[in-house]
Amino acid sequence: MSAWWYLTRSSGIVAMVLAVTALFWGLMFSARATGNRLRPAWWLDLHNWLGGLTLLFTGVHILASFADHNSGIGLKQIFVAGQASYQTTAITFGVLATYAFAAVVLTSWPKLRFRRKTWRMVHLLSLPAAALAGIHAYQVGSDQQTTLFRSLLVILVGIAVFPVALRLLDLATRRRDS
Amino acid sequence: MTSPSGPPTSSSMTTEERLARLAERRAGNPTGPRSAATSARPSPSDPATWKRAKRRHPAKGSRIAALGLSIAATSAMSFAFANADAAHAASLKKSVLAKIRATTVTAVKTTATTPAATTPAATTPAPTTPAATATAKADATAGGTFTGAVSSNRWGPVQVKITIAAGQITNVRAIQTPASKPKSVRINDRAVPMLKSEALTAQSAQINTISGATYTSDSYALSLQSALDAASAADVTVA
Ligand code: HEM
Repeated sequence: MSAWWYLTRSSGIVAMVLAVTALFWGLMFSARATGNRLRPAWWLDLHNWLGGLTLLFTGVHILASFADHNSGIGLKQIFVAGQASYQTTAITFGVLATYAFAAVVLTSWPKLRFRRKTWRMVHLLSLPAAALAGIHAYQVGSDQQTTLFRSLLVILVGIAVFPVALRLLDLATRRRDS
Repeated sequence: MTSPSGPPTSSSMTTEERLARLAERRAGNPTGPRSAATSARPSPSDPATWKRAKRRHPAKGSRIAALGLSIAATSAMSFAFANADAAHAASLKKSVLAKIRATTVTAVKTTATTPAATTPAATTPAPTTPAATATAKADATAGGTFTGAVSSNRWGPVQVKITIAAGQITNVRAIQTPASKPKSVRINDRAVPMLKSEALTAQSAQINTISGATYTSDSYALSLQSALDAASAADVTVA
């Protein structure tokens, strides 16, 4: 049924936007660029929530593609990398991104405690995961040829790169000052 | 950065907790060792903790807004995708129907001047219709094979070749279908045989759209119609 196909596309796009927004929120927080008017506790809480929502909408996206009989996505293609019969690499990127997002969100669960270094290493996976998800979307998406979709991807890349640059600058400044 | 005083020590905390504590300090509350975001669970028997419990999610309003926005965006986009497909299908159908009506008139005229064809197909080239780039090899009074114009949609080109014998469409072969994406190949593997049997049953381009293959169905009908146009231009009609 086409409805699953529409849902695959729309939830994929929303998951992508959420992932980049969560990334932006987290990087702005750690670069201490959250401004004075907004409380950092609020900022951090929203960052956590956006991460959870990314995982939720990725779940909807995967379930919809599984339900769409024309997508060729089965359980094996969802859980095991490199199993898709078409666009194997691009679908594999989606699978890897999902695992990475899941690890990032789960290791940040308040009840679970990890060593700081472990948590940080896992958390940094969100950067390559967002990049993998972006490539996945551009390669397999049915909307890849539309101007609107391409413009959205360009905007999302900008939104992701800006705080990364800010954070790197922040790190460089702190290293110089210490 | 200096390490904050008092337990828990910074080494026993996750980065999130440290960030939360930093957040708390920056918000002007240097006393609390843990932030509101990670504060201890409230005790149901201690009213003093009730108020703190409310602050476990300082961004509660924004959380609800983000969830609502995400659900609304997903629904709106799904709706827009469905609408765009329906609008495309409707506009194509309109042009197919207009062509079919025009052809019916031509066919009547042709039947009036040319007796029904019954002899086997020969290899006389037939003229192409203005709408189609179709080429045909046919006996002007019998039948033959006619290639329809290429009808492209967003997934790729569709082109059919028909065989007419004794006033009947006896075969429809899809000589081009979208193949740039394996997903299209899979869809067309299912849809093309169904479209063929639709065409053979209808003996015209008035065929039903196959669910999940609307673009291919419409382009198939258009190419089929232009093959029929080419046939009727060569005085080969379908009874
Ligand atoms: C197991 C993991 C995944 C699988 C099996 C999967 C599967 C798919 C499939 C089959 C499509 C093509 C849909 C179409 O026909 O247009 C697609 C597109 C897409 N996916 Fe995924 N995906 C996965 C993970 C992800 C993740 C983690 C994200 C982002 C956070 C994502 C975002 C997208 C986007 C934005 C599109 C393009 C939608 C469009 O063209 O409108 N996917 N995915």
